[in-house]
Formats: sequence, structure tokens, C-alpha cells
Amino acid sequence: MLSIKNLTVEVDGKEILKNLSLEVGSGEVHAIMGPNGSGKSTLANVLAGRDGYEVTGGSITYLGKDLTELKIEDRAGEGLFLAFQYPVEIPGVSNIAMLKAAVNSLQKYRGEEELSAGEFLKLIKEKAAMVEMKQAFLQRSVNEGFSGGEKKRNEILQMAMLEPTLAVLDETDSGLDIDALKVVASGVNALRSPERSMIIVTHYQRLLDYIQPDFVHVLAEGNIVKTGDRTLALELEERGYSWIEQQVAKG
Amino acid sequence: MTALHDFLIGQSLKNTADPAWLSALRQRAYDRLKNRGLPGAKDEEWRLTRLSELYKQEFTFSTAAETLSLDEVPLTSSAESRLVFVNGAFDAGLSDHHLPDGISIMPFEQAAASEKLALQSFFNGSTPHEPHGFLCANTAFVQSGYVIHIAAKTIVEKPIEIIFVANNQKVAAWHCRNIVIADPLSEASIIERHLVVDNKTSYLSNCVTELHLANGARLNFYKHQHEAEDAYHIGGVYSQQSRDSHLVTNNIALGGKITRNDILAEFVGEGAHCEMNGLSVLSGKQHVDNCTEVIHAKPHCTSDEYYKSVLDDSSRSVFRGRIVVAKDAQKTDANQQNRNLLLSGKAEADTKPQLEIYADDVKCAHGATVGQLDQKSIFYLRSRGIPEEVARALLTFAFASDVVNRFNLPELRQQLSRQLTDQLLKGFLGSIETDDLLMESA
Repeated sequence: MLSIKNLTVEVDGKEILKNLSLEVGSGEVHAIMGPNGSGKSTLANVLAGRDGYEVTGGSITYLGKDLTELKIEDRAGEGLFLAFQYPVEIPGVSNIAMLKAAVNSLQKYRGEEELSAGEFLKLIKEKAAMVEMKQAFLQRSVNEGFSGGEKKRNEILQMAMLEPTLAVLDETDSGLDIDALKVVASGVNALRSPERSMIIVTHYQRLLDYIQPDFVHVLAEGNIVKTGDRTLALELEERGYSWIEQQVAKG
Repeated sequence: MTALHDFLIGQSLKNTADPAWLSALRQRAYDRLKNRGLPGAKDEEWRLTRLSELYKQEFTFSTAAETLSLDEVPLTSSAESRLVFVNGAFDAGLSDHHLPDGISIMPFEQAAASEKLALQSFFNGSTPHEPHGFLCANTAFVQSGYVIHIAAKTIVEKPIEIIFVANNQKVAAWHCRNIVIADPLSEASIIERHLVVDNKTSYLSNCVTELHLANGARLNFYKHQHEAEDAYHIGGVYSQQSRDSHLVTNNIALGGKITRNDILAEFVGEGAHCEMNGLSVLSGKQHVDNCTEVIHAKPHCTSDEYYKSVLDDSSRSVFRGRIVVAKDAQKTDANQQNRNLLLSGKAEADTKPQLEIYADDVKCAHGATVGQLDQKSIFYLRSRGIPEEVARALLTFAFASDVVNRFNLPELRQQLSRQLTDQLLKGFLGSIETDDLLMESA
């Protein structure tokens, strides 16, 4: 589904990702862990197409297409979704208006009929219940005045509404208390399916107690230095990142 | 002197129906206009609004209008009483007097002759002592307008609506004077609309509104201007507020070629509050100049000013925000915000806060921004599959509707939101309804 080959990315002229390769198959859940500054968020942002992240080498192929050639909105149209580490507050645009605009845009991109008002309402009620979000939140401005946990739940709600093929979760667990974390994790688990792949970027192993990944990758200094199954995450928790960094330094 | 000035001072002041006090005021204003002329590039407060094209125009005074229907113009369905002025003249046929007790509404010419109203003690009572040329012209040549008197303790539940509609084949000018007298502890909402039937007409509407609020009076005032694209709108809302009165002026400018509004509030009693909201959404070569002034002459008064403009193409906005806090006006709390959104590289916004504070125990805050749409927000929306132009339109709507959300009348909030939706989101919405875009009011 996603094939990243020898990817090199620069931000402000500084190389952040160096020769990174990653293969993600259908239905797989990949966790990307690593210390601060290792390039985790850069990977998430470059997939979504954020400005200022310049691909200077390698390739990203998604569903057979060169992802870097696609506009930001067309990536979403092709089924890519990024849950933001820091969701943006948009005063004056209601959650429901944004979701309607998003759902309808995706339908249009795929040449399908727009949802009727009734169909949309039914869908959003069901998904909002899944992330334990009250109806009143839908009428409020996107993320404005939301707590950290509410913002992250809102990201999962959007993911549930847009039903992506590949979801990238950028530190969705950061700053969450355990109750919020459980809600987010159960939302993510509910969306797992053989057709949907996920890349979960996280700093902490804790999230992986609730979302069990198929693969765990350790990112250090812009490259994947170790790949394993979920036991690798447990080992990281016990021994910290310095253990990996030392291993890498030794070569 | 200019063609417009020559035209104005060439007019006869004789009006046999005038009471003596009005004739005297007309003459004084006429003399001042004749001697000092209309404002020009050398006047600091007019410097950024070029009127040379207006001054070259050949105008005629407005004559009786043809009959027209109001089917095409937006009305407030919840309004029970409505006065309609066509090309500046009162139209009894289109007006609807459905007056609750304690309130009287009449055209200016009728009110001026009424001894009971004693209009002379209000006329020009809230305008500056050194009036500019347009204000002088308004006093000298006023033919009509509306006068509303709300008796003490009268609570007017439904909004009162005044429509000024242009429907003119000639290039005409008219001067209307409106006076609202809100007696102690009265409450009302007034919607003043400036609309057009045929967008291709050209005219000058010089329309001055005075609001006189007695002790404890509460007034919500809306000025909704959507003049023709070749029209000049020059006017103002001048208010004087007594003790504990509460005034909200909402100034919405969507149409017109050049619009100039002088929005003034003066506190002459303690404990009064004034909120001033403003929204201009402009495109093409439209120009809006809002010259606002709040005079804190007494202690314990609060003012909150919130003006925004959305500027596309080569449009231009000028905002001047003068706040004067007199030496004795302790415990004043004054806030002023002016935010401008530039949608095009050719649009221009000038903003000039001007705070003159002579008291020492006061709170005054002001802020002004001129900027573009937030890139992070655009990225966020696009990452959800929303095309860039739709994302921009949504964010622009959000910026503008922020002012609309401050309106106290739900019907007006809805109507203006719908108008903004049409103007900014046309064709992008699909099945999104205006109601989805409206925020829950706080």
C-alpha cells in the first residue's frame, strides 16, 4: 500500500530524514517510535504534504501513485489521513461544517454522490458516540477552546468520518490522561480493518498497550535503526532510547 | 471649488414648512459649507478617502420617485413597524405603521413641525461642534428622514425597520436626517437599511442618524448598507448617552462605491456602555472609510469596539479609532480592535488607532491587524480533502461571520450569514446549509 524508498527530506535546508525506507501493507499497523528530534513528525508531515518539507531524495509510492506529486487535498481524496500532533483551532468554522465540507469533497473527488443531510447526520451521530463526543461539540468552532483530550478525540472523529485507507497518527497520545487515551485507542481499534493501514507515531510505549501494532520501528537521527514486533516496544520502555542510540553509534 | 460644492450652494434654502429654529440652523450650516467647502485631501480625517471623482459629478436633487415594490429587497419579517424612503423621500404607501403603545415613528418633516416632540433640543445635539462639509450639507438641505420617540420604560419587543431604497434614473443626491429619542429605561432595536433596486444607478446618499439615549435606555442599532455599485454613501451615526444607558451600533457595509461613516459615541452620564461592531466585505474597487470616535467624558463608562474588514481585488478599507478619555473619566474601560483580512495583493487596509487619555485610573486596550488567511488552517482543511479554494472561502466566511455572531437579533444573524454565504461561498457549499456554518451563540 505504501512504499517509502530511500527517502531524504530537508526542512529549512537541514536534512531531517536520511535515506529512510518503509513498507506498509494492507491492514497492517506500524508503530514508529523514537526520541525527540529523530524525525517522527517530519515523516508524518511529509506524507500529508505540509509546506516546507522538501523531498530531496528517494520516493514515496502510495497505491501505485507518486504521493509527492499529489496536492494535499488529493492525498486525502486517495484515502490518506493525518491525525495532527497539534490540531489547529479554527475560530468561526464549526466542526459540522468542516466535516460536511470534507466528506462531500471526498465524495466528489471519487465521483460519488454527496451524502444527503439525513445520511450525514446519521453517520456523524454514530461516529461521535464512538469517541464519546457530545453533540454540542459539533456546533462549536473546530478545536477552539477544546482541551487537549477533546482535540485528539476530534481528530479520531474526523478519521472515523473520512474512513481513510492509510491513517497516520502523529503523537495522538501525547499529553493525554489515561481516560482520554483509552477513548482514543478504542476509537482507533474500532477502525482497524483488513483494508485500512495505520502508521502510529508515538514517543511513549503506553499507547501500544491499547493499540497492538504488527510492527514497531525505531527512528533515530532520521532513519529507521531497528524493526521488530511489539516486544521491541516493551524493551524500549524498559531500557530507554539511549540503548538504541548506543547500538547505532557502535555501528 | 468643485462641481458638487457649486451644485450644493446653488440650492435654495427656502422651505415654507420649516419651523423658525430649523430655518436658522439651515442658514448657519449653509454659510459654513459655503465658506469652508467640502472636505478634501488636506483634511487629516479625510486624507485617505479620495472624493475627487464624486466632486466632479453633476448631481440633481432627488425628485419624487416612481412607484416600486419591495419584493426584491431583504426585509426583517419580525419587524412590526416599517418606514420606507425612496430616493430620500418618505413613501407612505410602502410604509407600515403598526405602533405599539409608547412609541411614535414619523418622517422628519412631520416631526420637525411637532411642538410636542421639541425636536430642536435634539437636532444636531450629538454631532460635533465643528461639523465637516457633508454634515453641514445634511443640516442645510435635509428634506426627510425618520424620527422615533420611545417613551420612558417602554420595551419595544419587535425590531423597528427603516428602509432607504434607491431607485433612480438620474444622478441624484439626497440628505436625510434621522433622530432617535430613547427616553429613560426604554428598550428597542432599530434596523436601518440602505438598499437599491437597480444596482446600476448612481447617487449620493448623505444620511445622518442621531441617537439620544436618556438614563438607563437600551438601544440596539443596525446600519446595513448595501448601496448600488456606483453609489456614494456618506453618513454617520452620532450618539449621546446619558447615565447607565446601553447602546450597540452594528455597522455593516457590503455595497457602494465609496462609503464613509462617522460613528461617534459620547458619554455624558456615568455608568454607560457602548459596543460598536463593524463589518465591511469589499471587492472590486470598493472603498469604505469608518471614522469612529468614543468620548469618555464621564467616569465608570465602558466601550467595546470591534471592526473587521474583508478586502478582495483592489478594495480598500480605512479605519480610524479615536478614543478620548477626559480628565475626570476615571474607571473608564475602553477596548478597540480592528482586524483586516487581505484576500488579494492589491487590496489595502489603513488602520489608525488614536487614544487620548487624560485620566490616570483607566483601562484602555487596542489592537489592529492586517493579514492574510492562516496557512496552518488552510493546510488543516486541505488535509481533510477540502480543496484549497473552498478552504479559503470557509476561513474567509468564518472571519466575517465572527462580527455577525455578535448581533443580538437572531433573524439578522441568519440573514446576514446567508448573505455572506452567497457572497463568499457561492457554489462551494454543496449540501452544507447556512445553519451548519452558524456558531452556537455564546
